[in-house]
Amino acid sequence: MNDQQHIDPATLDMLEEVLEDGFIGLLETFIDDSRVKIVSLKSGLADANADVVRRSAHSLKGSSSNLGANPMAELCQRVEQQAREENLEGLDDIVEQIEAEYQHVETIMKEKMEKS
Amino acid sequence: MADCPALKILIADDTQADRMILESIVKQEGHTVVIADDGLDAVQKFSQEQPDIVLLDALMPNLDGFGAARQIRALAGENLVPIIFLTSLTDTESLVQCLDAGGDDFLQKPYNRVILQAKIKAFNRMREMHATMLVQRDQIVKHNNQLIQEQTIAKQVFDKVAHSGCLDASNVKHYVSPRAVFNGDVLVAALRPSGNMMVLLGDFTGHGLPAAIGGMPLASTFYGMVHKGFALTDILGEINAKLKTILPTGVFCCATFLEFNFRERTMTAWNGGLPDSFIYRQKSKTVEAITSRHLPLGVVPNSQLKVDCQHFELAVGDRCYLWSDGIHEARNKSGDMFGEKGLRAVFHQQPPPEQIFDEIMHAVTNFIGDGEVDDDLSLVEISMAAPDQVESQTMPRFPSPTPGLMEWSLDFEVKPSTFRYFDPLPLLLSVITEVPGLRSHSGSLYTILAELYSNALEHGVLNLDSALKQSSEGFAEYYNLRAQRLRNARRGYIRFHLSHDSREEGGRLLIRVVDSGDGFNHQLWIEDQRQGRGYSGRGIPLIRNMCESLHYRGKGNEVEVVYRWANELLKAG
Repeated sequence: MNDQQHIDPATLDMLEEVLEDGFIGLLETFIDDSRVKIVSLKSGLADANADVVRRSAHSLKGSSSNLGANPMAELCQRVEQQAREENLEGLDDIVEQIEAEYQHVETIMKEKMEKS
Repeated sequence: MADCPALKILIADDTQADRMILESIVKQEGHTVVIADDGLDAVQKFSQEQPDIVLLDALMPNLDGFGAARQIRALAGENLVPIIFLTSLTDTESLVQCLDAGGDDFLQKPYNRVILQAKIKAFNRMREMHATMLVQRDQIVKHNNQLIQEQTIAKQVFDKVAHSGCLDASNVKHYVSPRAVFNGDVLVAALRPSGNMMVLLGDFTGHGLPAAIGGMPLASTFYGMVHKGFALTDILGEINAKLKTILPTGVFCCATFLEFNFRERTMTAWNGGLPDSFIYRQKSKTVEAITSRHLPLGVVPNSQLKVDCQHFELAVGDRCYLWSDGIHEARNKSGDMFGEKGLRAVFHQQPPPEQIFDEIMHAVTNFIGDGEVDDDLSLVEISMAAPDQVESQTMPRFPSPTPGLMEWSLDFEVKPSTFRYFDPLPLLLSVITEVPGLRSHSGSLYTILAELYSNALEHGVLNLDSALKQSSEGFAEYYNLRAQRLRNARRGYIRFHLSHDSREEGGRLLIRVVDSGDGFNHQLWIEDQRQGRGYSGRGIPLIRNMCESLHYRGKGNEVEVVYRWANELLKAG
């Protein structure tokens, strides 16, 4: 997988253009927020708390799609959907994929921050 | 952008990264941003900052977007504050929830700058239109309130002018809806000095103020002249002339004018352009129509006005009904009109006579039902009654406390060119009633003056024999001769001498009438009277009852009466 499969570069370009000096701050905010949300996603799953799982997935889905991390957003969408139906079966697997996907996204973003 | 002014926009989202993106896009357009990080915060910021547009995430901690939207709607009241939900369009159920909560639109993640800008612009146009609408609505409400206030005042003035007569009399029932007043209906009624009742129902063409305004000169002319004892035809002429002068072309007044003589139980009617009035005969339970035979008032100059009237004999308990076309044109839900058919149906059912008035009102109201309520109804009922049964608050005219004529005398002579066409009695009566205490006596005084004047004119100047009036053929001949001789009169006179003394407890009015005629053998006549052989005519017994004294002098062409009156204010006190 190359970078473009994890993050849509056009979305990032657009954001950089719109946010100008705030762009780095946005990426930092996204990274901080995503780390927190992934932790709560996992603990929600461990506690079998569907509502926590759903909210965390929903939030992650929204922000990752906004930043062009579309594969991650799609995975979050699946978790949110299942959690809404209160069916947490087999979600451990998907959450692991989200975490892996996020690692790619974070790496790409950090590279971007260093370049700027 | 030039076509969208700077707005204050509230962004509520618990995901900070999403907020930052949205905030940047919105700020780039030149708008101010207020940030909230959950639903409760959003509601609080809304009431503090009063933003123009709200962007609301659906799923938030503490209070979700739906709850926040409801509270924001309530806070905004009648102001239009567009609420755009930030959500994905994948979940139909939550979309419905957004709309139910008062959302106006959705914005999907990932945010698209162009779409967001377009939405803000569109909603701003909607806001501006709504604000304009509110301003205009408030103006309309204000104007409407002002109009109602003006109409209320106008109606008070109108009622004082138009409805100051004897509509309260015991033999009169009437209904004039407020709406009808402003559609040009006017109803006036007053008693002549003789005790006759005059009633006029008018309906001006057109609607609203232009239609109502003609009612004022009509009413003031009517009351001014009726109280002074002018004849129906004179009053018609004066009103017609006045309306013709002041009303613009195309505005005129359909009217029915009735005069009731309670002593003789007759009714005189003139109808110009109003729907048929009805006479209900109590004995036969039949209805007789008083049909319009004339042009409305204010159409033609007086030279072309026809004032010939219809005459009816009525029995006590017979009733006359006048109405404007509001009753005829009352419509039910399917648009049918009540019409004369509806009126006749009420009479056909033969309700007790005293309930006819209410039955008509019921029938019209029931007919209209749920239909459009025009409330444009004028209806009046006048019953023929015995003279002493006609009671009205306006009847006892107590002397006014203002000073007036006290001690005075007047000599007044009329010659052929005057008495051929002109009735001098209202003029004399208006002088006499300048005596404050004598206004309440105007009925008796009119009767006395009228008898003395017609004796002097007909038996004196015109030399007509009152014996003619004893048969019905003679009656007609008498009036033919009277008209003929009056037309040809070139010589002669009638002289009045009035003199009055006033004291606190009352006064004494002397009336002397001298005519140029040959007189008559009044000594013999008085002797006949005394022996019960008196022939009719001359109304002398009536005058004798009303006056302190009556004397003929000279060759009988001179008569003198003394009328004594007591101050009613003192009596009342």
